[in-house]
Amino acid sequence: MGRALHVAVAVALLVSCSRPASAYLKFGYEVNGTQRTLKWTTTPVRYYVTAAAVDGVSATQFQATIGKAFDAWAAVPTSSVAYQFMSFTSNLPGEDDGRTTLGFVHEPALDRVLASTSYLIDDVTGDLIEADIFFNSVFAWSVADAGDRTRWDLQSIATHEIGHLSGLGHSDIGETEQTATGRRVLSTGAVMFPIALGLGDISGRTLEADDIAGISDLYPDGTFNRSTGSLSGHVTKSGRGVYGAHIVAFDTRSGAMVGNFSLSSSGQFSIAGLRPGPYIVRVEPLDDADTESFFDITDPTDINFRAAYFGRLVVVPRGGDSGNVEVKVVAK
Amino acid sequence: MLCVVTCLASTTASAQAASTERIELSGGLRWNGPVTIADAAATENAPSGSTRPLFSTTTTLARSWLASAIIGVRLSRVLRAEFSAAYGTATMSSRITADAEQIADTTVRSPLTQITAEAGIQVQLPSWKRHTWKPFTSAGVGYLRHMYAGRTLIESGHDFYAGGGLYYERTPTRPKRLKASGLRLDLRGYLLRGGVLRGTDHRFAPAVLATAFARF
Repeated sequence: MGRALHVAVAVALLVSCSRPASAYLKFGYEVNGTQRTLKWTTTPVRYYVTAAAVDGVSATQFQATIGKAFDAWAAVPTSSVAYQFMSFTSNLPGEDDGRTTLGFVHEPALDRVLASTSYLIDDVTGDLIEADIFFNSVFAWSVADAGDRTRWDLQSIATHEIGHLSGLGHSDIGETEQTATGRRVLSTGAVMFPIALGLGDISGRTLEADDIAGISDLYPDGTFNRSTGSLSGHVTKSGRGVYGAHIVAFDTRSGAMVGNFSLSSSGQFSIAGLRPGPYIVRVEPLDDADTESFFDITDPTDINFRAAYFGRLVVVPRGGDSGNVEVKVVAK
Repeated sequence: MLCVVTCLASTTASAQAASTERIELSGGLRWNGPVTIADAAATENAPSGSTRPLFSTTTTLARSWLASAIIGVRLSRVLRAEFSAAYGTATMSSRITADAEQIADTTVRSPLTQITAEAGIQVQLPSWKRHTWKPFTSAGVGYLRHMYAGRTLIESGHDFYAGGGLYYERTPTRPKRLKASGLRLDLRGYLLRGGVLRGTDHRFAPAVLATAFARF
């Protein structure tokens, strides 16, 4: 094994722009001049659980609850990803031991971080070696079936972090408002939205259409590409491409929402994994979370425009693409 | 014996004089009433287990005109089997309202092509006005196909109809091959399944057919 490249979610990840034809917000990294998409090349993904308990959650309860969160992703019918629990371990997440480990870690300095995922990548081969998730034991956790309004729901937070473990970035399907003390979440439309809804909320246990499209795009089963289609195009303002716009495809018949971002200077975007049919396309600036939750801080994200709808219904074909959709936005 | 033969001869002659036409051909226009396809809201999960709408939509298939053709085959004095087809364009539109970020309400559209092929039964009812006006009832089942613009997507389904109508019929003074001709008006109620409705949704839609017919 060559020198390992240790990458944490919150820091040095770049958005992958190497596959615009079927792009979803995946993590990307560069190894030896080659852009790679962060994903497991072999499955099942084998993981270990730290044998440690916290107030309200025993090690056995932790392992069982983590298992349910993994099951949610593995149960996606259009995805081929699979996971396997290996055993308990005394090692902690974040130790470069070649094992994907999940467990509680006491991190009082990270008093706004419920949990975090980090990766270890072989910088010679570019292969993903391990991905660890720590759950901050500074917070109060619950494994109650119906949730606990005084504690954070472990299964919901684990489901989000396992999305990262699998290679998914954040989704912007959700709404927040700025308050004097920070952002307040009004609603979320995807498990992968970067900010948790609040104490006791258990809605994060259930994957939404956006999450399902993402994991299926990363790990498609045999029918996924044939049975779904994509919607692609450009977001422009005054004739110039808009980088970092959030585009949502809304299924007019089922109400499902799947989103992505314009990831180039030309404003190009592509949303894959869509059920064939007519869609409403909505474009908005990335203003419901810090842009660093989605992109590298140096990326030229443009948030100075008004949200808008594309002027016609866009039909997504089966096994194909909608054709170029140009959404023109205006400055605020 | 002679009386019986005479009576039989009279009956046969009477049968030969009435309803010798076998085939009816009709062509004209069909009007389909509007159909609400779906009311769907973009909802997100809110704290405490509630939901919050981002925006609301109502998607409809607008009223439309189709070219229509019907072939009828006489089965008995009152019963006719019918095979019909219709072709035309329509517009699917979605009305977007109540956007949480105050985007103005708007309507977005997409054109599509409709094709139907149906088979059914027509039952003649007692006629009036010297056989000039002939009412009937009908029912049938069919296959429908919706093709979006540029044939990007084709969705198929079924329809079921029931209704009735009226013939305005004229008989030639000396009928040869053409036994009768005139105008026909159908009023139908359709139950639609599949196509743009996708899945198991059912929708009701009215239709009116106005055609010219000829019987041979």
